[in-house]
Amino acid sequence: MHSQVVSSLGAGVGLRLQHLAAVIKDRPDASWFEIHPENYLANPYAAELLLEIARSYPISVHSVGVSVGSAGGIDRTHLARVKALIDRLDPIMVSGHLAWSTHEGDYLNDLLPLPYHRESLAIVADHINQVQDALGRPYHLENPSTYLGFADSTMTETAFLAAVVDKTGCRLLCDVSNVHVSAHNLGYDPYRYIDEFPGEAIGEMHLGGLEIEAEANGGEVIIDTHSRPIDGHAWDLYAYAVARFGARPTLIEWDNAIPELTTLLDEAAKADAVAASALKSGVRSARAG
Amino acid sequence: MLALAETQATFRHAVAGEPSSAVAGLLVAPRDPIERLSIYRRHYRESFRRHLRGRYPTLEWLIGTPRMTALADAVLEARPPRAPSLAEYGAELTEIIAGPDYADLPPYVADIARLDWRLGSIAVEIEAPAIAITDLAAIPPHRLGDVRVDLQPGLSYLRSAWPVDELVKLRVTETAPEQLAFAAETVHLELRGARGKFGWRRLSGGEFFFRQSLQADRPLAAAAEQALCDDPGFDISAALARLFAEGLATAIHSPHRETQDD
Repeated sequence: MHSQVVSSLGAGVGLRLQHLAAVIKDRPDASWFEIHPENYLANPYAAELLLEIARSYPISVHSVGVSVGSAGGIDRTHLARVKALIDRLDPIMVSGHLAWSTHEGDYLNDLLPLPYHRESLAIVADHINQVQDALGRPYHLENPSTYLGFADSTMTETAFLAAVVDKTGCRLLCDVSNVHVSAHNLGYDPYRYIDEFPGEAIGEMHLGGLEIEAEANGGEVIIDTHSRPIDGHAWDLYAYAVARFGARPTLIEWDNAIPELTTLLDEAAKADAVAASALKSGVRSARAG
Repeated sequence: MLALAETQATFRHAVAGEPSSAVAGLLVAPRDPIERLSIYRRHYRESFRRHLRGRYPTLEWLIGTPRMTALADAVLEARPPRAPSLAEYGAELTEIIAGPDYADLPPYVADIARLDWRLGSIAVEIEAPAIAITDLAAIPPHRLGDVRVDLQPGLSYLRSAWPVDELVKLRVTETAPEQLAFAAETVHLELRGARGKFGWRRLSGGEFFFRQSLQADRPLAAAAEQALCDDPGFDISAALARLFAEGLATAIHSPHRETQDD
């Protein structure tokens, strides 16, 4: 049933704690919501509201704490808590990041970058297998936004993602804004990245706002803040990705300076319109746009 | 090539501590990798500062944002979080602020911190259905002393040598005067919260120790004994009646009979 629901979904929005009561009260015309399970593990009241919302809307679970890239292993206790929430919600999708956030038990509260080589591939693949076994569901792995790379990387990010899919059977979450951010910050072509992305594995796409900061050396770095409307370059890249891969459930992420829910829903409607136009126009037009 | 564990140890130290020359050799960026590393360093500190400031609003109101920020950094350095559920992180601040490094602050700030933390914690709880005092009728009178009573999850008991609740009230109601006479006065506070709301009230010493003991899973006889130590005139029958009438009891456990809660 979930696959039928997912294939027909329009764009959804990230559901944050401050919008829970408004969703229950106003029942907005949202296609689906995505939540961070970490926000609900120690908040019984929010979990109660979320379960009520889940009776009326499809929910996707997007973990920010599973840390599949940690060399020291994944936190099985945390994974069990996330699974308990997932079992109650029965979400349409479960996802997380190609990143690490814990080291020797300390939690760094950020999605930190990985070098891409044989050892990190083996570790990430092993952890995703553990996660999928524990959850009993496919895991959608998201490409990260990054500000730097590693000298000992031997693979491109897209080759790394394709290898993870091959080793684990996991799905991918293509965060188009992250592609724009990382491509700018690391100096590669975002359209080529999309061309090389293993598109058949994409189960979900993300779009989020960003901010540009001046660097001391005269350059500019793009920060993945999720605090603003979607950037024009990201919309263009999204149209290209949709034209290339077909429509996928797409999420508007907004995690800081969070506006009224209607602002997020307006961005979701725009994503639907951009996707419809891209599907009609095709790849060449989408890139030209 | 470094092992991934070693790379991550170096990176983590550069983010949470100071960047070493070792990390520079690991990183690449079109321009200065160390400047790019500073983005991660900034996010690390700012996210925890934002979180701790949100959990200790009255404390920040009292000591000011610069001191609160420095305190948050000190907590993060001394006791970094061990789990990815950020909402559960930060109680350590109440211990650190009570330590010698903060002896210059007023003597009541540690209790203010405890009050802030607990109010934030109880406000997200959900109340359980309350039981009636008649549920005790099934227990033979000579067994009552062994009974344990579960209380609502959104309850907390805090005793302070200062009327710290007055300061929280001033902040919440935004009614702080230009000057405030603030004198030592022992208060026994019952904090109660659920579904996004919280409140508090003062209890007598006897009532406070009785309820605090029950919450600590002590049987009725031991809880009454605690109360009597503070108030020789403590009336357990009246206290029990108030406990149930206020909807605070959610289950009873008797070692001699499996009751409806088991």
